[in-house]
Amino acid sequence: MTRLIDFFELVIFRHRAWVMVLFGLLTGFLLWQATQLKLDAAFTKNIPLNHPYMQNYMKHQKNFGGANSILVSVCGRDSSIFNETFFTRLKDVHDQLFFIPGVDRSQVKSLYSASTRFTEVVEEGFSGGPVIPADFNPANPAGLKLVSENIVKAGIVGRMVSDDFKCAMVTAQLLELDPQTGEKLDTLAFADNLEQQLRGKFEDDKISIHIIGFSKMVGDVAKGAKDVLVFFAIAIAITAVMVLLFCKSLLLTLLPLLCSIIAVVWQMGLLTLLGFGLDPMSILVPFLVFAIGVSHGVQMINSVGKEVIAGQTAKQGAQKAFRTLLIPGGVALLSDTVGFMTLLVIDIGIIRELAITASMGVAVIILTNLILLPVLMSYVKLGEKYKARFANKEQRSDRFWNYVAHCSNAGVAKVILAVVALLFAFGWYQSEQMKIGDLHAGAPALHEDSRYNQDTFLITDKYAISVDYMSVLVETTASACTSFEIMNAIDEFQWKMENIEGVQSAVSLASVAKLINAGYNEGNPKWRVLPRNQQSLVQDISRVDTSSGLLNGDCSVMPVILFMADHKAETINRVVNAVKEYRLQYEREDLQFKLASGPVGVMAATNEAVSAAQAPMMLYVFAAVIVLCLLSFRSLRATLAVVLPLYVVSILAQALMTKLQIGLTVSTLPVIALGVGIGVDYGIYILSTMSHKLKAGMPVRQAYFDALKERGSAVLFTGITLAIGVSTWVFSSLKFQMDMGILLTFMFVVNMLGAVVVLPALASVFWYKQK
Amino acid sequence: MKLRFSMALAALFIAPIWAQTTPAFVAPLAKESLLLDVATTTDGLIAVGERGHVLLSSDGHDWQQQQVPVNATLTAVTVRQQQMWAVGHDALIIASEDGGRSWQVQHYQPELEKPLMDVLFFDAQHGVAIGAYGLFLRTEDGGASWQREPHIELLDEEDIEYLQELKEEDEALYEQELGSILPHFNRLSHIGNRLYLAGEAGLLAFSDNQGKHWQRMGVDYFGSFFDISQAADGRLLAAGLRGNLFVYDDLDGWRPLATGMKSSLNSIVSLDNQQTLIVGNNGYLVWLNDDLSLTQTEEEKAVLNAVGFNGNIVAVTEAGVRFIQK
Repeated sequence: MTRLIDFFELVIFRHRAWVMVLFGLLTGFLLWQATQLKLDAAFTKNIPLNHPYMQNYMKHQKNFGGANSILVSVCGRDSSIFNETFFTRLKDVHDQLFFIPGVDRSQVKSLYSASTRFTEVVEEGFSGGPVIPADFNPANPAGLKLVSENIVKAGIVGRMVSDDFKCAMVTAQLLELDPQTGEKLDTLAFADNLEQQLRGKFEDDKISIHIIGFSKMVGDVAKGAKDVLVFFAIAIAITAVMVLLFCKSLLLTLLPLLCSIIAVVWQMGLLTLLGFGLDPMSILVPFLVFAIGVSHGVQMINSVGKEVIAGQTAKQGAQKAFRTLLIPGGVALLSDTVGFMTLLVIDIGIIRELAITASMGVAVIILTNLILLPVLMSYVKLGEKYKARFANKEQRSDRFWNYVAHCSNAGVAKVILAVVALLFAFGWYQSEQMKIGDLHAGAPALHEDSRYNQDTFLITDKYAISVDYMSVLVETTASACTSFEIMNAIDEFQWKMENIEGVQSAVSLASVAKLINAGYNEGNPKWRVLPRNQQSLVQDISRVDTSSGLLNGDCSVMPVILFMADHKAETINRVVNAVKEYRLQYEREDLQFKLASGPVGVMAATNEAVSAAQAPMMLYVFAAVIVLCLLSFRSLRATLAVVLPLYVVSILAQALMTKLQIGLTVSTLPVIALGVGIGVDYGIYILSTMSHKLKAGMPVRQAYFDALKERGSAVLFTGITLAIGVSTWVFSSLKFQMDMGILLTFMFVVNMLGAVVVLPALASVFWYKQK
Repeated sequence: MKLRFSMALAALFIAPIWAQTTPAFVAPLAKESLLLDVATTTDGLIAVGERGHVLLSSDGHDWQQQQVPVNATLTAVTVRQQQMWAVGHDALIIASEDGGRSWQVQHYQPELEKPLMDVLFFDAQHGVAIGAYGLFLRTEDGGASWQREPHIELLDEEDIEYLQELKEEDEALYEQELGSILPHFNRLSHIGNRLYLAGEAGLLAFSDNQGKHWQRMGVDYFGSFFDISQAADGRLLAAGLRGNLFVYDDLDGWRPLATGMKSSLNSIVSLDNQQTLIVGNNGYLVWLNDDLSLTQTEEEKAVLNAVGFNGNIVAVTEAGVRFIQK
């Protein structure tokens, strides 16, 4: 090992200029690549595609559309819909939406679409027509009155017209692929079009436009994600000031910042090179890479600075620092990388992208901050002035470290460990109650007072529409909808599900057929049954078009759509379990109840995937950390001393999630892996110094004191810098970034405390003979 | 070939399921389900509706769903102290001897593909049940056995002649025609010693021998009637499709009353304060005393029937039990 390091040292420091030229060229190339980086969001990336629910969802997506639709509610600000301005505007919105690329034109629906018809029961049977007649003129009060009557007859109040008659809805389905060009839907461009061409053009002081749907949500998230640049700037500024305070030299401040920025550039360039875009959900990663880069850079300048103060030249110091830090720094960064890579086991597109983005970024830091940085520093001239600034500092900090080193006294250690055990027990209890999934109404990625969520609340409030629905796909045989027995079975299933707490209402071909059957019998509610007579049943069902989404072409698949009170994980679980229980009893070869489609079906699958991934993810990330520690320390005791505090902190982080009502979701799941991966750095830096001395038989307290003197200030500084960097996310306009910010801040700070306080206490127990 | 055989086999297995009955599922939401009839009992109220729902209540607020052996939709209920009968789809008749707490099947014929729409008992032993396509059942033993009674006298001359010819030529076809040629019978009322019947295609009729023979009443309307009953002031009323309400007097016969709306009127409810309420679809309520007024419930759900109860009006609607006010 030492030989290898010698070799590297020789090669690198002999050819310092070449190293810099190489890095310069690479940086130039990757910077150019990075400028090509696109924000990229796709619906399918957010869902666990291989989960059985999603397999069913994808299988039937063509027939029943997906969860990818868009709802546009046009509302009169002070008036009802029955006036000329409103109807003209509604028509404009309908026509405009029709022409926005990505919209399935056959599926644009509003009062103005030809398929919006009314039927009424008259003595001779049914009579009906389009809700808006061909000769409709909104300027004519008689025409408005006729339309208002037709709306009531058509039974579309609550769906196409709001309950208070102040809003009307235009809905559209989106095409995942452009039928002409075959290109994938550009969700962000689409969302931008909605904003510009609908809201921008048609919203004014009389009419308001409210838009919801997955693509709009992603658009808003992307827009919010761009705020990250501001946080990035703030974080760089704060970090710079902190580093300056720490090293008291402007040049030494700039170098680690420069190297960390180079790491970010490389990471973003590599992403483009590998054909990835940057997802709004993982936009924080470059940020994290920067913070990690700085923290390792600080270790480096700290080490070089100490050497220089001890009388070495900058080049000697840089070489020495390179030698001593390559192993602990490399191991720490490698364990970060491996920690992030464990996220690859989770079968959700954006988590995998996050894993790739983050692990690549951290791996790059090994090159920029462990190689480039010492090379750059070797050119620095640190004069007497610099040394003078640290003249008295040594003694002052020694006093402080001496105080901290008490942690490794047997008596103090016992107290510390007792407190940690108590905290662990409390954390364990709390973490068991951690909730899976999104706990709040509306789009969880966004804040409750965001425009998107306000629009969601308005639409769910004014219409009898729920965005929280789940479809159970009933798979049976061809023409099954003409069989009373099958339809009756679907109807009974639907009724049992409606009676599950959390299901507000439900609709299926069976329940619609019952309404139509009453319609055929003069609208008499006493006939609201499924007719046993097959001709009658066929007659009823023939009135339902496949575009209703209630049956496929040969009615071998019929969804039962369950509208839910909310999308809390407990609600979803209750309903999913009820479906599973029901099908245990009633499922047959020719009658299968398949989970699940619809937005809540997607959430159910995601929740299951996330909760199933949690345990293996923790297992892998800790396994990776343990293996790397064992390899570098070659000591079980040292490994335990690093890993145990780490584990306690990850449990406490879960307890914090319970306390703060942050659910385990696609965005919070990776946080623990990130936290563990980065948190292990502190322990590795401290113990790498200690373990040599302990092996040489030095008492624990002395070894710890020496380690603190050498690395302590850098560790404290790193923890605080990282924490300050991520804590700025708390002000993000995106809720998931706020959640991630809180959790990462917690993990960085508490892991640092764990390494400084708990690690020596454990060490004093493990090496109890070396007093 | 093999496929056909297995399909035939499947048909064999499916067929018996029809004869099998599924008990009604006791559901938390039964009180909010489609309820089709309500009546007062000695202890309070009884309501019946879809999926074999039978609910009892002592105060109109709390309702307890009862165990019922069949889950067919029940359309009507009649009460004689502790004795009760409910009828519904699949030609189902169920009866209770203990005030509605336990129910036995008296008649169940799903293969008829006809619902029963109303039931009425003259005393503990004698009763009739009516339904779609002129289905008419009579019992003389408290419901232990029910006999079908064809009432072709309710048809016009031409149809009667046609049927009689058919009976001589082709007995089977006659039976088939008899099962579909008659109009739907929707509602019975027993006023004094006279029995009244309301039904499809302008059918209003009366009988003075407990329905053994009927005589049609002429009315200038060819749509369906859903109820015929006595108003609080003693006048005879008939209510039907598209807001049609008729009042009868001996001099002029049936005379229309303008209700001002076009939704079906389902039931005539005579309230004790000299006021009559006619309930209908879309939540329409026609209030009749000296003059007529129209209101609509806020939720606009179809109201099927109602009863006066402890000074309140308890109604059954397509969304369950509701208290209604003028």
